[in-house]
Amino acid sequence: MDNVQISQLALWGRVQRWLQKGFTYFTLLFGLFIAITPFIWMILTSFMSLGEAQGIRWIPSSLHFENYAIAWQRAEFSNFFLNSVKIAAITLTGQLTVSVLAAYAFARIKFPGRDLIFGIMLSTMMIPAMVLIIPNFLTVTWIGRIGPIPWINNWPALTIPFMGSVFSVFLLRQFFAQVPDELFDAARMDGAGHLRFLWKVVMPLAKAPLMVIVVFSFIGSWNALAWPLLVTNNDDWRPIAVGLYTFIDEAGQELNLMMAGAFITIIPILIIYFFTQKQFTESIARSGLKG
Amino acid sequence: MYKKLSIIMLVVMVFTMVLTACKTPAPEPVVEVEEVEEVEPEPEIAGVPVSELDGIEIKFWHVWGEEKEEAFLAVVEEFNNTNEYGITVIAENQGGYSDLEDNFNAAIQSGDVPTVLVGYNNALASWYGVDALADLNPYFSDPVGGFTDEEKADFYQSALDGGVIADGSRVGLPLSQSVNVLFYNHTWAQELGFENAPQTAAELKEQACAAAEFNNNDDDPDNDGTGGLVMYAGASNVMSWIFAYGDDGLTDDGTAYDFVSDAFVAVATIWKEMWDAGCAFPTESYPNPEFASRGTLATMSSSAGVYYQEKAFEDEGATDDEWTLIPFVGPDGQKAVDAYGQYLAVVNTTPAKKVAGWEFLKYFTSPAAQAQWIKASGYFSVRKSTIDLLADYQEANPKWATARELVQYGHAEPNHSSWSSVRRTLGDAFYEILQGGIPDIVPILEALNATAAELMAEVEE
Amino acid sequence: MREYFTAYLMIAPATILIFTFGIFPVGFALYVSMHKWRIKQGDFKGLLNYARAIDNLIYVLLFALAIGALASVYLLLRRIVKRVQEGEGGAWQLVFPGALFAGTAIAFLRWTVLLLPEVLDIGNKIWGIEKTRELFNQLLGDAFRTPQAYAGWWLFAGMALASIVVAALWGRFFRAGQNLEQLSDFTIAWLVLALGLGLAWFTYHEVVSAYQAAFEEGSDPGIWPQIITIGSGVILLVAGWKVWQSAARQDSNWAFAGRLLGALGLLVGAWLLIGELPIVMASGDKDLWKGLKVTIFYSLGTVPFQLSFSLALAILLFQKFWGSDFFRIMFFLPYVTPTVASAAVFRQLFSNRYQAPLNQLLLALNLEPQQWIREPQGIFTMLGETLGFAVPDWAAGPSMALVVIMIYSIWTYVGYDTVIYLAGLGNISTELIEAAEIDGAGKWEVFRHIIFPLLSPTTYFLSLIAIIGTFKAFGHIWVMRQQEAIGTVDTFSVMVFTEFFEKLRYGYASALAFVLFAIILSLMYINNKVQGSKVFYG
Repeated sequence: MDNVQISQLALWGRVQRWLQKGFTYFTLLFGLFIAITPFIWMILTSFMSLGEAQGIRWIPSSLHFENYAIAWQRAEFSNFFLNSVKIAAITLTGQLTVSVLAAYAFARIKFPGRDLIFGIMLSTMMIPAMVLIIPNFLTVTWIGRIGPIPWINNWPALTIPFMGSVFSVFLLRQFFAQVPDELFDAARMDGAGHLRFLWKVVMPLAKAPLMVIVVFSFIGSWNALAWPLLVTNNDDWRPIAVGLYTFIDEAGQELNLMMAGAFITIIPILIIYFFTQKQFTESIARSGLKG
Repeated sequence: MYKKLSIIMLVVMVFTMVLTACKTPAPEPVVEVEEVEEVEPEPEIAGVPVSELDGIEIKFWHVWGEEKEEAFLAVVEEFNNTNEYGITVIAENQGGYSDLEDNFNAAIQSGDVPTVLVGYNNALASWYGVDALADLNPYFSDPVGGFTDEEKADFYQSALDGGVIADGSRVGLPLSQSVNVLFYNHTWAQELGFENAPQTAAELKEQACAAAEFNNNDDDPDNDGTGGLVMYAGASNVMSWIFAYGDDGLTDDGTAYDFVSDAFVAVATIWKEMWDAGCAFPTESYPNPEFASRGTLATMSSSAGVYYQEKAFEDEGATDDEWTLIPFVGPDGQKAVDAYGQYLAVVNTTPAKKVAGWEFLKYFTSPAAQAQWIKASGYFSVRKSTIDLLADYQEANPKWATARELVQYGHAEPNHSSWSSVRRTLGDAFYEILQGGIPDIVPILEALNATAAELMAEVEE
Repeated sequence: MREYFTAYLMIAPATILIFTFGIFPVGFALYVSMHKWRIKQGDFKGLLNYARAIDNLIYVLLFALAIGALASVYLLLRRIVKRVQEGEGGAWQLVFPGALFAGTAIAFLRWTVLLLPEVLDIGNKIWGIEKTRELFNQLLGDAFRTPQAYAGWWLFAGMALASIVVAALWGRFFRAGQNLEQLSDFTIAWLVLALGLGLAWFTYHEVVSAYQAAFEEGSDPGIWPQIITIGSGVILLVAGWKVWQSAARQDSNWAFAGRLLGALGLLVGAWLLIGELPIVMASGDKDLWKGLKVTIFYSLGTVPFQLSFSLALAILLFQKFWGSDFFRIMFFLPYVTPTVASAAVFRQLFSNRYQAPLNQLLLALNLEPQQWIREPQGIFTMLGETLGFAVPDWAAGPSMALVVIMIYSIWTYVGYDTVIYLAGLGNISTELIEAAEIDGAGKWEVFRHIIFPLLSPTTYFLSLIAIIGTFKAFGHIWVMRQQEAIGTVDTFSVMVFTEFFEKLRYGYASALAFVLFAIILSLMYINNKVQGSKVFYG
């Protein structure tokens, strides 16, 4: 093997690496194009005049910012926005408390009937949801009737049914089960009970899955539509999805306004996602693998 | 430890059992004792003394947003401030018609129902079928709280009839109407050599084909295939054609559906021919931009869509074209439009509430309230005298006035409680016809007949 | 014991909530599915709603389920016997407490079923009148004190009391904790036994009444022959398969005979099923089978593509380079976007207007604009037309409208799958790959023989989630569904929805939902059996 050949080989290797890199970037960019084109189209359309939105144009000739103002006012988003934030916050708090406690017990304490109860819970995830709506509506009205506060047209009907989330319990249990036993033994030595161990040791370790629950629970209550419509009769507690829905119903023929309205409602989700995406993807991956 | 737990559980169990068992037997349900000693006879409406109406709060479920909601709330406020009985109406927005239906169906299970609601007459008929709604006849003719003969005559009879079901029960009072018409581009038709709007179905086909051909042969290759009639096979459009062909989708005695009649076969055939020849084409369900930019000579649309169509013309910038509203036309020049109404109903609750609900219905259908409602909604009034109050509106909205003149050609869709399910199947069948071949038409219509009969049997047994 | 108490306290809120809003409604839906229920509760119809959906198959399935329940009781008992033989004495003393506990649970169920109609009736009693809390409490009390419900309550209460007493005594005389497993085994065995017997009795009763109804009409429902043929068909299939498999492990003579026997069983079983099943399917609800077909198309058209795209992306993204984080975030974006918003955007992108983006693209390429989500024609038929050959009807494939929905679904889930594949890749040791590379394996070989097998648990998990997802898919299909597509995009769950909310057949829709539930469960079971055995846990 002489020197020429070696340098030729090295050159070839370099070309190959470039080609490979080029191929990688090309494929990824192509994928990226497909993934975000709908978003770009949506944003561009939301800035168009009606005629442009229904025509062939991709780029608006001038930016109609007023579409957003019109959509905001006509859909009365400010009230709905606040409601959605309140609903999401209550649901989130409740769901986190309930699921953390249950997940801890399922993961770290052995008690009779544990696997049976957990199995029954899991199986409920596979039931088509539409048949559950009417019975749940009846339950909610009944609890509201005999309980201390009304549920219909009020926050309990919109939040409490979503606090017991099988998915959250499952996700957290998977994570809690991975916490090493030694940590618990050590904590026991220091005289800590379950609750203290959970609060002081486990929770700080579980930031990532907690973040997933935050995001999913937020998205869930932000997008809920059919149920809120059923359990509310006025705008006092109606969430933003209802606002968007009735707005689309009225403005269905005005594509530009519709897209502006839709974009307004997804902005908060995008913000939350961008801020939590690191933990989010990390723990989705973890939960996925252990399923 | 374990023992402790069992003892606790035992105590709890015993405690609950004792508690539930010791609960005193229920007292007799509180029956409202009728006041016997009445000083002077008080006016009654359908057996309810007027004084009982004082302070009653009733809920009204509606489906209107934006301008319509504002106008409606204004009517409600006026009623609350001015009615002589002291009734208060609380308006509750339920979303769209289908949401209101879902919500009311759920409320029927739980018992938390409103007192008054708005809906299409076939939905009302099916609720009446499960005793959820009151028969309005006693109130309608009540000497104190009902309508006088002049008032009754002031209603358009066809609108009133839409709220009466086969056994004579009055399940709904009409609030307003709209009609399904053809939007027709007059200027373009004239340029294509057609002086007048089509008078027969064959002429409509001819004009649509000419427009389609024009778009095929112009310089723009993109718009090939457009130009003709926009074909949206929803039930309202199908039924509009059927009415023009002199049929109504029912057997002669009106007790069963009949979709295999000559009219249905003829309409299906002409649709299919237009479709195959490219004289009709499908697009989004709101073909406003097409119509505004000569993408179609005519579209089938609700008269309530005029506002959006005008807006589309503004935005497309093709405002020079004159367009108008014309009726559907049959093989021999019959004219027809499909008329549908928004109906108000009273839920079957306590006698006093029912009367209170009825009084609001009566107010809402009074000419003054009607005028307010029409201005905001663009629908047509169900009272003849309302038009006197709408002179300004009529002048400002010439298209609305044109459409109003078409109400005289109005036909109502079958008023069976199964109709809302059947009409969806009807639309599906016509799409199937457009996709299939001419020989498939009769078998598809026969299958539709069978499905409709099944739905009817199930709902109305 | 304190430990147990803490645990129960900790799971109590979640259990109560999930029971109230997750399990009770399922029981309620089961109750609804056995009635004629159009807006309001109608007559009790037993299994007729199910028979309308899948015809006599329901009786076959329920008998099979009953037999399965009894068989699992046998297996449970065998396990207990084995443990006793291994020296854990005294287990048989637990038969009685187990029965008592199981009886209590059943008595509780019975009581709720007796109470439910009374409570439901309250809705009618308070119809439209002034509602005060006292009134509700009183009415609820009345419902509670109706003779039947009252008797049911006392039976339950008595048994519960007895259970507690027995548990307390038992806790005193036996060492607690040790036999817990046995106790719960016995309880479950009793429960399942009761369930199996009850189911068999109920199904028998239903078959008899179906015969009676048919007799009055002068027709023959032919349920028993069908149960026998389908049942024996399945049994023959399973047995034949087992014999065939075990024959493979025998020596030559027996192997041949065994195989012959097995093949015979398979053939006869298959013949019986092929003869009978189409008849059953034809007399059930045709929309159901159509919905199932659409759902299967939808599964086949999304799951494999979704997985292979995301695997490819994951492998590319796994090489750390500048911007890989950015790509990962962006690919994940579709997954977190609300369905209603993104499906609405897709509806516009794939509109049949020639001005719509996709049709503009086609026009720019000198192709015909398409109907997209409004096109009910099969995709293969359309391909055949363009390429100039006729495609037979049975090979028409999914409609173009459904293909658009598949594209949407792939678009949404590729990001999610990629993230999970990335995590899976992260778990593969690089040493293994390096070793293979030193041995001279090419990139493809490394992927084929090392990476792919090691990723099989991930693939298994993802395909499971994806298949269940396709059977439950609803929101985006509903948004993109157009009447012009004449039902070619209506998957099973869309069908359940329309039956429920549009045709208002609550009873029938609930029955359909349980059929769907059964399908999902059995798919999971099959997936577990087939794919689970091939998963390589490295």
